[in-house]
Amino acid sequence: MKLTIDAKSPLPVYQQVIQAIKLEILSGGLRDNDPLPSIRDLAKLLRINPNTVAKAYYALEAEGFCEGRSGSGSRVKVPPGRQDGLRQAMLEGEFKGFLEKAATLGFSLDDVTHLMERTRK
Amino acid sequence: MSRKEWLEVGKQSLIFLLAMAAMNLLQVGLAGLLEGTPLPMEKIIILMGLWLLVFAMFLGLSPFAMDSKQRGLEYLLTLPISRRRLLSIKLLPRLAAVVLFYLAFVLLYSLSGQSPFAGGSAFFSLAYFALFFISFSLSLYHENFVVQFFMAAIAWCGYLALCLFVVQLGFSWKFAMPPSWVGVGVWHDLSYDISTLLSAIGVFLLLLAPFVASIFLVFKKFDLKPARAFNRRQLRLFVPLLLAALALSLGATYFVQKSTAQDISHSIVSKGRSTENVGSHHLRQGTGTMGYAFPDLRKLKFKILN
Amino acid sequence: MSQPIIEVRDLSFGYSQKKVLSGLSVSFAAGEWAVIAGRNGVGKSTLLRVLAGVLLPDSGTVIRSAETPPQKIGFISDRLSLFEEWAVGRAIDFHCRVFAAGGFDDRLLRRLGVGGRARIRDLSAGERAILHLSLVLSQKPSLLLVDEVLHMLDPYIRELFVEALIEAMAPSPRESGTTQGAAVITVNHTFGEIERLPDRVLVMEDGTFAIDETPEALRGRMKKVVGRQSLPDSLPCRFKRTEGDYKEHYIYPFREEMREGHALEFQDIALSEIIKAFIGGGYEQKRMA
Repeated sequence: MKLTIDAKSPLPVYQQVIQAIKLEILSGGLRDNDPLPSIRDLAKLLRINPNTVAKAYYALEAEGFCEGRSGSGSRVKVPPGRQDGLRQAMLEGEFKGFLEKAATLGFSLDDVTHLMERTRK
Repeated sequence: MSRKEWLEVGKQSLIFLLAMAAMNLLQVGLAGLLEGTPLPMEKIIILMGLWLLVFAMFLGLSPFAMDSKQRGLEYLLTLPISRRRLLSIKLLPRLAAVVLFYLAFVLLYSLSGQSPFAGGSAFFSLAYFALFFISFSLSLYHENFVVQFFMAAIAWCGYLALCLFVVQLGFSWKFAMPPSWVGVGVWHDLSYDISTLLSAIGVFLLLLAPFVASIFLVFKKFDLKPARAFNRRQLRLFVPLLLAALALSLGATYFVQKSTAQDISHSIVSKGRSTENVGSHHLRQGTGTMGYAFPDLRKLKFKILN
Repeated sequence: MSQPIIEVRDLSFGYSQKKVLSGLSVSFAAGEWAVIAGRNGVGKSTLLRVLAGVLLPDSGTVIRSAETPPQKIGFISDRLSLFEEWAVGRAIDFHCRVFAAGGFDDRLLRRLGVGGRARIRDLSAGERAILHLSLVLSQKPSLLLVDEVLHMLDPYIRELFVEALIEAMAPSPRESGTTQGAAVITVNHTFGEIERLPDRVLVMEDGTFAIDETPEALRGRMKKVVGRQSLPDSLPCRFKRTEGDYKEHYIYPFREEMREGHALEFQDIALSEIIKAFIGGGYEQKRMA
C-alpha cells in the first residue's frame, strides 16, 4: 500500500488517509474482507496520531468502506455499485487540480488537449 | 524507596566503622613502631566520640546530597511518594544508625571501665543527638556540602550555647551554682542531680524542636526552586518556634529547679558544711571518671531522710 | 468531552523576582496529544514541571482526574533526571517497584544494545532518553509529560522514541488491559518528525497561551506571502523576513476574506514554520516595545 502523508498539503491528515485507503480499495490493492491495518500499526507506519487514524477509519465506516469488528480490527468492505461513482469523483478531483496548475502556467484548454494527445503516443 | 535508603546508610555506616577501626589500628601500630605507648583508653574514647559526632553530622547533612544535585532530586520528586513520607524515609535509617552507634559507644565506654553517665557524658549524648537533628534540618540549605557543614556547625554551637545558658539560668534562679559550673563549666555535669538532668534533657529537646518542626512542616512545599525560597520559608517558621521554645524552656527550668531547690537547699543548710564538703569532694574527684550517679543518690538519700 | 485528565486553573509561578506563569488556565483531555511551543525561557518546561508535581505553584490549582494518580503520570524532564550512579538494571527494578508497574518492556533497550549493568552516567543522551521512556511506559501511564528531549536524539533513536509515544497513545487491549491510550503533552522546539502528530498546538507567550488550537485550524490562521512588494497595512503581519529584494510576510491572524481583497498568493505553510514565525514575531514586538 502506497501511503504517504504530505505535511504541507492543505488537506487534513485524516482526509489524506481516507483518500489513500479509498484509492487502494478502488485500484484493487485492498479487496473485500481484507483486514485494514490496526489503528496502532497504521499510526506507527505513517508516524501520525492514532486519533487521526481512528477518525479516518470512523469516516470510512460511515461511508461504508469498512466495518469494524472489535478485537479483530476493521475489515474492508467494497460497497457494491459505489466504486464507479467514486473512481469518477477521484479522477475528477485530480484533473481539476491539474487544470488549475495549467491555468497558472498560462496554458489554455486547447494546449492541455494537445498535450494529452502527445502524451498518449 | 526505603530499601534504597537503608542500603545507602548501611554502606555509609560500614565505611565509618572501617575508618574507626583503621584509626585505632593505626595509632596502635604507630605507637608500636615509635616504641611509644598507645593512647590511654580515655583518649581513644574521646577520639571515638569526636568521630561519632562527625558521623552524626554527616548522616544528618547527607540525605539529599547523595541524590546528586538537581538531577536525582528531580527524579525523586516525580516518584509517587508524598513529600512527608519522603522525608521520613530519609530520616528513619539515618536515625537508626545514629542510635545504634550511640548504644555501641556507650557499651564500649562502660566496658572500658568508665561510667557512661559521668561528667560531660550527659552533655555529649544530648549534643550528639542534637547535632544529627540540626544537621538534618539543614540538609536542604545549600547545594554545596562545605557551606552546609559550616552552617550546621554554627547552628549547633549556637544551639548548645543557648541550651547551657538556659540550664544555667534555671539553676542560678534556685541557689548558688555548683563550683564546677564556674566559668561556664555547666556542660560538665548536667547530671548533677536528677532534677538538673531531667530539666537539661527537657531544655535540649525543647530547643531542638524548632529545628525538626521547621523542616518537617516546610518540606511539604519543597520543590526544585532554588533553595533560597525554601530557606526563607523555613526560617520564617523556625524563628517564632525557637522563641516559643526558649520561653517554654526557661519557664520549665525555673519551675523544675525551683521546686527541687527548696528541698535541697534545706538539706544543705540544715546539714551545714558536712554535706557541702562531701559534695565538693566528689565534685573535685569526678572529672570525667567516676560518675555522679552515686553522689546523686547520696543527696537524694539525705533529702529523703530529712 | 468527558472530564479532563489534567487541568490547571489560574496558575501563577515565578522564580524569586521573575514571574514565569501568570494566571494560566488550561485543561487537557484524555488521549490527546498536545504540543507546547514557545521561545526559549518562556516557561514551557516550568509548566510541565508544575503538571508533574516537581514544582509547586505559587498560586492557582492543578487538578488531576481520578485516572491520573501520581503512579500514572510519566514525566521525562529535559534533564533526563535519574539516579546517576545506578546501573540500568537497578534503576529498572527501583522504578517498577516504586510505581507498582506490572512489567518492564525492554525491547527498546535491547534494540540499542543497552545492558542491565551499564551505568546510567555512562549512557549517551539517546540511550538515556530511551531508558527513561521505557521506565515511564512501564507505569502504563494515562498522562505522559515529555519535555524537549527530541532534539538531543540521533535520527534513529528519535524515530524509536516517537513510535513508542504513538504506541502509548494506542495501546493494544490485550497488552494493557485498557482501551484508553495515554494523553501526551510534549514540549517541542523542533517539529520535523512530529509535524503531523499533535491534536493540539499551544504556544506560550508572556506567561499564558497565545495560541491554543488544532494544527489544521492554526494552519488556516497563518499564511505566508512572498514577494518583492510591501504588504498593505490592512493585512496583519506577525513576522517579516527580508532576503535581499524578497520579503517574506507571515500573515496572522489570517481570514479567508483576505484572499478576495488582495491579489496576493497566500501560501500554506507547515507547522514548524508557523511556530517559528510566531516566536519571531514575539521577539520583534519585544524589540520595538
